[in-house]
Amino acid sequence: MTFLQPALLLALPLALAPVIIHLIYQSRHRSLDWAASYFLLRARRMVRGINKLRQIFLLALRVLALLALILAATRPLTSQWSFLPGAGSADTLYLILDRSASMETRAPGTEISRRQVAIDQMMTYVKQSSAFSQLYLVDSFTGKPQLVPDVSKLALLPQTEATASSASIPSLLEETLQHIRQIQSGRVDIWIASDLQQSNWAPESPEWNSLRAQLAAEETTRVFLLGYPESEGTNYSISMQEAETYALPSGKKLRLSFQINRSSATAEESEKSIAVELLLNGSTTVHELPLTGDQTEITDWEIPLADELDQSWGRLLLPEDTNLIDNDAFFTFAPSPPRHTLLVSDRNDLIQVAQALTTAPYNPALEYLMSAFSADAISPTEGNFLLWQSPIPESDSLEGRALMDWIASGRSVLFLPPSGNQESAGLSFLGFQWGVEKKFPQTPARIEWWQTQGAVTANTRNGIPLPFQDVEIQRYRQLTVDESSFRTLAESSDDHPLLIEKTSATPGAGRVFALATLPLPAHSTLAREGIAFYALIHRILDESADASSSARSLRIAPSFAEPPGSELLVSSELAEALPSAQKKFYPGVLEKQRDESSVLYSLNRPISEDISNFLTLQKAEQLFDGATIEAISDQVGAKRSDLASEVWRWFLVAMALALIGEAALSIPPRKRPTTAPMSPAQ
Amino acid sequence: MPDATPQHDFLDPEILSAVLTLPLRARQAMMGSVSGMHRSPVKGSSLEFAQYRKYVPGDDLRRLDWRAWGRSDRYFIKEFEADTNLRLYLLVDASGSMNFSGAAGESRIHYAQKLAASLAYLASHQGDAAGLIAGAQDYRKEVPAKRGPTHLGILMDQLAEVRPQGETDFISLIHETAEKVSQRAMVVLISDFLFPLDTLSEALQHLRYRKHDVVMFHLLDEMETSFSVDRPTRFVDLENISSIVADPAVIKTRYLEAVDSYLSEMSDLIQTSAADYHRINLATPCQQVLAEFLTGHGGLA
Repeated sequence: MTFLQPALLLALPLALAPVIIHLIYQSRHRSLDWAASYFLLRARRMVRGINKLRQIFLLALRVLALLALILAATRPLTSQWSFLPGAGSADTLYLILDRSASMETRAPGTEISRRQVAIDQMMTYVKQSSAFSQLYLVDSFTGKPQLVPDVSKLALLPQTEATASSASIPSLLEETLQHIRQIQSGRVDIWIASDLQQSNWAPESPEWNSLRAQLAAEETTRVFLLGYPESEGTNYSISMQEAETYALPSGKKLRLSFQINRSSATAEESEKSIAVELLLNGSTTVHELPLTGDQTEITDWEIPLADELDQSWGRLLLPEDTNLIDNDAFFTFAPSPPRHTLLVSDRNDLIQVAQALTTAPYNPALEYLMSAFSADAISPTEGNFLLWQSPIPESDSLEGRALMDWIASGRSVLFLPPSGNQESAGLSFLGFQWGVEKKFPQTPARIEWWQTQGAVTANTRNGIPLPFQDVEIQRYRQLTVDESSFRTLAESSDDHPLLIEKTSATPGAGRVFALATLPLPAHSTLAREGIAFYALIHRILDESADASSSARSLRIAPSFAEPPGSELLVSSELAEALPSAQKKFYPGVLEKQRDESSVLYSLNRPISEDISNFLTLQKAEQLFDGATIEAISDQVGAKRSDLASEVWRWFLVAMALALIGEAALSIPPRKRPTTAPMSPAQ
Repeated sequence: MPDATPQHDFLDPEILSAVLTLPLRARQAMMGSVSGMHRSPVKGSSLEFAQYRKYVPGDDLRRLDWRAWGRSDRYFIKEFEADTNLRLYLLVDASGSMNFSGAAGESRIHYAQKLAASLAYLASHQGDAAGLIAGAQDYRKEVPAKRGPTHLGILMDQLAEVRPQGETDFISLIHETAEKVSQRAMVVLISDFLFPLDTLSEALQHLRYRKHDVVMFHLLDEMETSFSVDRPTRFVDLENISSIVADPAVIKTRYLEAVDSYLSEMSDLIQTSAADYHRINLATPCQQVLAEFLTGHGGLA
């Protein structure tokens, strides 16, 4: 038997308190000179056996009650008491529920989604096998463990509703493990209900190393994987990539770039084309678009626009299939603002490189500008993207405040290492600081790892990785990072972060990046091997420019919060029956009034949700190597195991029984009303 | 009139005045050494005619009834009842348990002293001899039965010096008295009798065999008989200083059963021993007890 609160075992001697009190009480009895010891001895002789036994029982029961109370407080764990009711089931259950869009795919042989199947199975399991257990729901959207007071109403909770968002299973597991440590539960079962979509599981993420170590350390925790990788029928999904308007000689055009993904459970020959319904400016048209395989990229699909239509929204809709939530994609459009980069640096060589990089037309239809400023001359209104190659200012300085205003306005900034080799302050201001310079005169360092999904370093639309591996680094400034607010996007071969991004940004704020080296020949070959760096800069620039556009796009990521002051203009038919707060978790369009104009936001699923790439159960199991895991494809049975579980409840039962016994023994015998006669018997 | 001054607190004038008019009489004939108010088994020269019997040689010729000779020509001796005095022996239990002070607040020994002193005074007042034997294990105090105010004073002083101590030896005391007092006497036993009664039975038989008039004053307190103790208590034995911790809530029923059994045993014992038995609650006034005893014992003159 082990204990969750072993320190409380020190209180065990307190269980002897009744014996000690008894002895003290006995020594402190009132003394009375007594002559009739003759009667007393006779009476004592008559009750001695029973009374002694009663006294011993009373003391034993009192000691037992205290012992049971102390042991219950120490929260003992044992696997030896499997004969008791409720033993073998976990004390606490966690249901990590994947509420991502892909979980809305119809479960094989049913008319309901995988998410609903998982909820039903968990409700049945808890009712049948874990009635004594506490259930915490960790849904992929809110990401926080929440106690479910009534398991029978699990399916009715808003936290189990569908969303068009993605999921991050490693993050959810991390939250769950933190919560387990926080509540110090006994035996814990973690149920993960997921369709094993690769983008949600991120199997290559370094987070898994830490999770494996944590799970291996949690001896009383086991993981059940309720996976649904199989599917039936064919599912199509559409994800919007770009919607831009152009004024061409032939008239005003709307150019749409989107992707149609197909996932098919059978090898039968698939359709050659698909009917796509376009809703634009109030009218609906159906277009038969050719399919080129499981992934069809439609680029620059031109739609004629009326000249007076500057700003509006539209929607692309696919025919019904096994997953309804990924059949539509909304878009908004407005005239694109010019891509204006501001550079804060006094290095001419850097100015020249930045000029070349940022003004080379990434999109020929757009205007590209670059201006170099000193740190104290940043314009609050001009520019979309800031390159800061200067020491990090103090937060309360003029430059510091200007920088914060810039970020708060939704525009992005990329910090480049300042000249010199001095460690800088500023950790409390932005969450990172520049360290000393590290040089590689002989063998240059390389970029060993970079984020290939969901980041500015992600693969191209065609899935081709950006060629960061070709970049050589002669010197870089070490970055000291507050890991809770930054994530690493690229790492050097000596495991140092080279590119980081601030993750704890407030909604609507611009993104903050820091690059540890400069795109100059003495520092790196970022400029010479320019493709990766060029794509990186323009991705940030485009996104940053989007922040000042009147038509912006938003992805419904976990914990998504709509821009303050925005209102839902239109949403998917699937969300019609839902309360307005939940409609925003479905594709649609938001509108926010700004001065005399308005900004339109398209709400869509994360692109990663449309990629039909699933882990097998075996692959998913391997991620938990070292932990106690059981993978269950689609059945949830009454799973019992020999893992130690908490038995404190039984100690409380023992205490209650001991107290009842003590009370029964303490009841005084019925009084005899008679007293001995004082007159002699005749 | 006895000259014993009531200088002892147990010699209460109030009690004496209440009982002085009542005579102390034996229930049976006494063998006194002097003439008194009690019947004697020996025929003597009192005024009360007893019987005629034939003359046998050796009889006192002075007691020959000449008139009967004149009428019947035979020799008859005329016999009269002999009135004699009483020997009163007061046996006081001086064991430690006599120190008990109960609900009434008065110690048992003090009550016993009052009883003994009053009876001695009464006996002396009517010309009877009074003696005292008090004792416990390893302790004896003895005053032989004599008449006269001087002796009464000595008896009172000795009574006042009785200090209850140690374990009881009352049975031995009775046997010793039975052996020692050869002539008929009134033996008054004053004790709590808190010891096994089978030994008492033998002792009473011994006294009866010696033709003594036995009177028993059984002194008990209400607290002892009803066990009116309300919480667990350490009971310190007055005789051997050992202690017993007991919870009245647990043993009261058994205690009262033991008291009942003891008193019932005592009643049976009295019926077979023909002793004049008086169970006394220490809260009862002493004069009431004495009055009941004097009027009930031997009848009023």
